[in-house]
Amino acid sequence: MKLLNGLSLFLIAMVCTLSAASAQAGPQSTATLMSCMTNPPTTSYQMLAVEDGFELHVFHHNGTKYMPIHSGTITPNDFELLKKRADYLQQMGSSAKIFFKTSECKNEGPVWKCFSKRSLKLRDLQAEGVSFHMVPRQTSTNNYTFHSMDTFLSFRQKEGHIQYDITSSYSFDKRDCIER
Amino acid sequence: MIEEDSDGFLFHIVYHNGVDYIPIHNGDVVAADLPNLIKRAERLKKMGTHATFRFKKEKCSSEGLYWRCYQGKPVEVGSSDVLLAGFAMGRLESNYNGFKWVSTETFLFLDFKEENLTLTQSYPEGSCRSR
Repeated sequence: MKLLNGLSLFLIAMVCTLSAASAQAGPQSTATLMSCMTNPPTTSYQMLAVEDGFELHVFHHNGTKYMPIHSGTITPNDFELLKKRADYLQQMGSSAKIFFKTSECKNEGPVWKCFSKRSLKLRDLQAEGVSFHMVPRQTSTNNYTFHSMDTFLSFRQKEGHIQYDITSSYSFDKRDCIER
Repeated sequence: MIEEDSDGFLFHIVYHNGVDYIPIHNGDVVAADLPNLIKRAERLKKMGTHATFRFKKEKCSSEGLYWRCYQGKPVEVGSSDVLLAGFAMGRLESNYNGFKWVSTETFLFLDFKEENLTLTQSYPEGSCRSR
């Protein structure tokens, strides 16, 4: 009897612990719809179907020092801005989950566009809104065509009446982005 | 800008807005890159706003607008310790989700004693001309 009581208490404790963990993790993930992962893994995005919407999982496999903070041409004059952007974006940590309602996303195959005007906090990163969008790009030189998928993860900032986005952009090889 | 004279070709690089606007890198950047990019910028800024290299005629070839030159000797490079330069151009066609455009990509290769740097710059169609 004592053994049964002990087992019951253990099971109740386990159920309570799992329920608490589930509540902290947010919506329960059900299925991966899209993933982009560099090869070897450095930065990954995964879009999952969850209750009432979608959840974007962001991974910086080598830590935040190696998360993309810019894509394109830079000049010495850009350093101050790049340092501020790096400091801000690194606050999200090496992994983050961002929830979008069903109505905030649309997709055509593996190409997703999501936008939320709700404020959010990812570890120490705070934003007044968030968007994630993908754009397929094709570039050709004389004898070679390269297909890529540009991704933009933007965090909306508000300073008085001024609004602007701080964006982590990265260009994946198209083959690294898969519709599931 | 490439000029021809009796000794070969003079290759000029002009940074119209000053050395703080030299295109020092083109591509993806992570936070860990910043210290190296700052060092690269300091090195490149020493060339000044107008640098010139000389290429022998046999070291250059061109197909219409598109030039390729190598082993250029510094003529005017400010206080930079650059040893040699190379240069290449190419046509790039881009299709961005249905929006198409053509650009000219340029590559400037700079050899220093202990490292080689490549600077790329993209020009819209029509910005590069043969005279």
